Amino acid sequence: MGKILIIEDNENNLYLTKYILEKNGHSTIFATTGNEGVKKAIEEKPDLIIMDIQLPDINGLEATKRIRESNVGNSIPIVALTSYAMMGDRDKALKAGCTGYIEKPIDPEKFIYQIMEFLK
Amino acid sequence: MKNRYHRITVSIIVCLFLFLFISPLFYAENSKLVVKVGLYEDEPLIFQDNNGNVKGLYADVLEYIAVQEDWEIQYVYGTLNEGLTRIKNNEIDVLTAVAYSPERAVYTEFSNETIFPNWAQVYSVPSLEIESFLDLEYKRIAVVKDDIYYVGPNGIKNLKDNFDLNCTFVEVNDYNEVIKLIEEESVDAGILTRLYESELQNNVKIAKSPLIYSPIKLLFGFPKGSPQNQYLIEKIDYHLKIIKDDHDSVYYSSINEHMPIYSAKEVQIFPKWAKTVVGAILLALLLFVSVSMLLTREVKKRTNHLNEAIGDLQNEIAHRIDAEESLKKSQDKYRELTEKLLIESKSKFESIYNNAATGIDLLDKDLKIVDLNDRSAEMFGYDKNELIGKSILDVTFPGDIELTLKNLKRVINEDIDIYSLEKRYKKKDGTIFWGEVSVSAIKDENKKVQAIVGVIVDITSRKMAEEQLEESEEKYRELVENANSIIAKFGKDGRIISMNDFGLKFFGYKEQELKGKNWIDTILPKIESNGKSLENLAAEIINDPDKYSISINENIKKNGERVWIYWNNKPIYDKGILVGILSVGTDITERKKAEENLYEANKQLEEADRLKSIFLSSMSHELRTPLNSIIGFTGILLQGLAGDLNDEQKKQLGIIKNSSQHLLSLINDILDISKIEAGKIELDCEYFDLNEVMDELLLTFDTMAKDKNLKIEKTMPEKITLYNDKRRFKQIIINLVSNAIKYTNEGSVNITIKILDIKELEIKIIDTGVGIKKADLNRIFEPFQQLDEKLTKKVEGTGLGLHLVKKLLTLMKGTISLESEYGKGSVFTINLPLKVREE
Repeated sequence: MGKILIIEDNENNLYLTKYILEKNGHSTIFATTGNEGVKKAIEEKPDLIIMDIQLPDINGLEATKRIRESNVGNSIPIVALTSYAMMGDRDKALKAGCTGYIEKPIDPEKFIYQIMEFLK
Repeated sequence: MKNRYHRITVSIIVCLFLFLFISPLFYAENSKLVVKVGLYEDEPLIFQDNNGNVKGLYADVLEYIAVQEDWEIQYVYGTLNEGLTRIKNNEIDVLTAVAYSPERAVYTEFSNETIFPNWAQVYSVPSLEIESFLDLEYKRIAVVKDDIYYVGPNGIKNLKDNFDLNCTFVEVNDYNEVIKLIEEESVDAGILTRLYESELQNNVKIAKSPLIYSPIKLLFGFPKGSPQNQYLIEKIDYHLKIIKDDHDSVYYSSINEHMPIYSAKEVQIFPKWAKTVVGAILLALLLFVSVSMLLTREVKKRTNHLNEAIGDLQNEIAHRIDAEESLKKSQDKYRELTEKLLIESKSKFESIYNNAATGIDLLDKDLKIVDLNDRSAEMFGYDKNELIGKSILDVTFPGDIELTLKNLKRVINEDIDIYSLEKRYKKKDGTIFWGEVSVSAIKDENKKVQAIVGVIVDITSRKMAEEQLEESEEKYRELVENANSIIAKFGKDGRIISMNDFGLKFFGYKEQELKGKNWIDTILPKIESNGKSLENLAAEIINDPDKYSISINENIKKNGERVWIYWNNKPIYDKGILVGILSVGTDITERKKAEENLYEANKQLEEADRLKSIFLSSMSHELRTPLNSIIGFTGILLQGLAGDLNDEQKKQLGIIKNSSQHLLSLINDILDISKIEAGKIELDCEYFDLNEVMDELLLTFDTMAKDKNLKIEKTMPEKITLYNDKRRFKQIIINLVSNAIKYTNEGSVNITIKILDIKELEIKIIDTGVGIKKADLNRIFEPFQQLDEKLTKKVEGTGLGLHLVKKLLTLMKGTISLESEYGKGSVFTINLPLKVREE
């Protein structure tokens, strides 16, 4: 089990992700903007970061880059939540430094297994 | 009685005469006189046989005389040249077979009586046809050195000079060598004598030509100044004359033996009348002798003279006859030749006349056609005979009759001799052709016009070309004047030299208002409305005509209206010097406006497009965000994470889950289609293992198929690497296979994959399902076409799946086709280009 940072601006979706993870025994922290997410990632050094791409200030890609450029380095897996419809989002996410991606909307049953994979 | 008496008298007189004539010699010579006779090989006149015996006509005659005169003949054998040298040096007494020539006469005395008339005969190699001396041009000719036929006054050497021939002579020692050289083809021709005719008659290596020349008397030669010449000449002449007159003599038997071919001719040489004449003369002479018995010596002298005269006469006659014969021969030949040439040239003329590229007509003074050549008949399209007798005016185009008549009359009236005219003729079929006719008068010796010759050249095509040219020039002028373009000439400084009507009207000026004026402040503003100065435009165009071959600038009309003109400028050169500009202008004001509008519209479109993309992107996000919560929490609730649910709650949450999944599919499909239509979708191609992908896909259908108790089977080659957008490819297969499963209630779904050739992949999805009615086959790929109303209720789908599949395949440069039998099943066939992996 690990500490997971959720960076998500939509309250409902944050609640959904937090709920699934916590119900499965993970501890979570969260941020609702990109900058806050970067700050928390550096301070808290979570075991995994779930990064929404569309965020109000800096987007998830930019946030990922900043985290990768920081001293917490490359060790933390960052999982992007991408829109299936937007062509190129996945590529952009991987290029920006994400470890992997999960398409929205999430399937709660599958989601926890996907997260477990990234935590290994 | 009288006759017999007469004959006896004659005999007595002859005997007497002979006695008187010969007796002194018997007393004068007591011992045998040795006569050295020079000879050279000149068969059959004189030659050595294989045993070294001297034979031939000369030998026989000499031997006869020797017997008569009690001489001893000693032969001195050599060449002609050697013989002549010996005469010169007085080493021999007599040389045989020698003819007179002035050069030889310097050192030689000649007998008077000829032994045989002879002439030169030209022979050649058989491949050459020598018909005249001119044929000897550039030939090599074998000749006997010092031969009279070579160097004599009428010899070939002089003939060569007289005919101005360029032939070369090969000198040899005797005639046999000449023959040998011709046979060997070492020479082209050779000079022999008539005497070789029989010997060479059947010789295929040597051909007798018709050329003969230099008829001469063959005589005996004596060294000049030798004291016994007088005696020898006298004796030889005397005996020769006698034997030539007696057909039973040794002379004729020798000719028979050595020259059988001449024996008959020789008889003719001395015709009967000649003998009678000779007889009469002799008789008269003998009568005179008998009457003047005392004047023996005088008689002898005169007899000799007369003998000489008779001999000469005989020779003369013989020569004349021979000459006549050869003359006749050559005349015949000449006649034949001229006839042949005449026929040839006549047929040549006819051929030229009829096949000439020009028509030739002969008219009488009434202008009727008297004769015409084939070409002329062909031009008019008539048979020759149809035209003869017709007036030339009958075949003249009516419009040109007056002109034709006027000109022809001038010729008939002898005002002019010749004229040339371009006119139209009328063919038999009524069509017209243009002819250039040269007419000339044929006049008699009194300079009166007899007939008229017309030579016609068909110039229809030239005329047509001229007309076309004229037409096109006219058209060009029209084009310039009426073109919907401004066409103008400008000087180097921008001075207006000329402008077409369209241009004048366009700018609203009259010609005189513009001509000579500078374009600035007439048709050109100093400054364009966008601020660009046009004052130096003329200089700019002149300085760099290539760069300014097209210029677009603002112009101004007389009424002040500003217009945009697209100018095509061409420099005008005079003797290599640029003197001005030819410009063609098109008013593009409207176009320019339209372009500007279009540019605006484009900009707006681009903006709209950008907004659309943003909209799509936003919508995707905005629609998904609530769906994420709906689907997510439905899932959590159904999982029981938030506490247990009763059956009703589970059922209702299941409906929410399915509906929201359906909604998600709809959103996804709509977005995909919109993006494809907006050209926003791009394939993200990669190489992937097709087997792996197919296995993975089939796994996801496993539950679905098992639920319906269907078999899913896949047939494909073991290893195929496909270069494609893996996700989109999967999307296509998922769509088709899930459709197949959805619409099949029992049986199977088969997927077969084949490589058609190395460039094409074929995927067939075969089901045993409900199938599609024929009438619906075409609609199947349209959006929202779920065909069977009843089925729709049972089967869920967005109605966009096949439409999207088709669009994606088009994007992949692939195709999809469908075969189906209603109630039995369907076969969807996909063809995709197969990119071979380059590793």
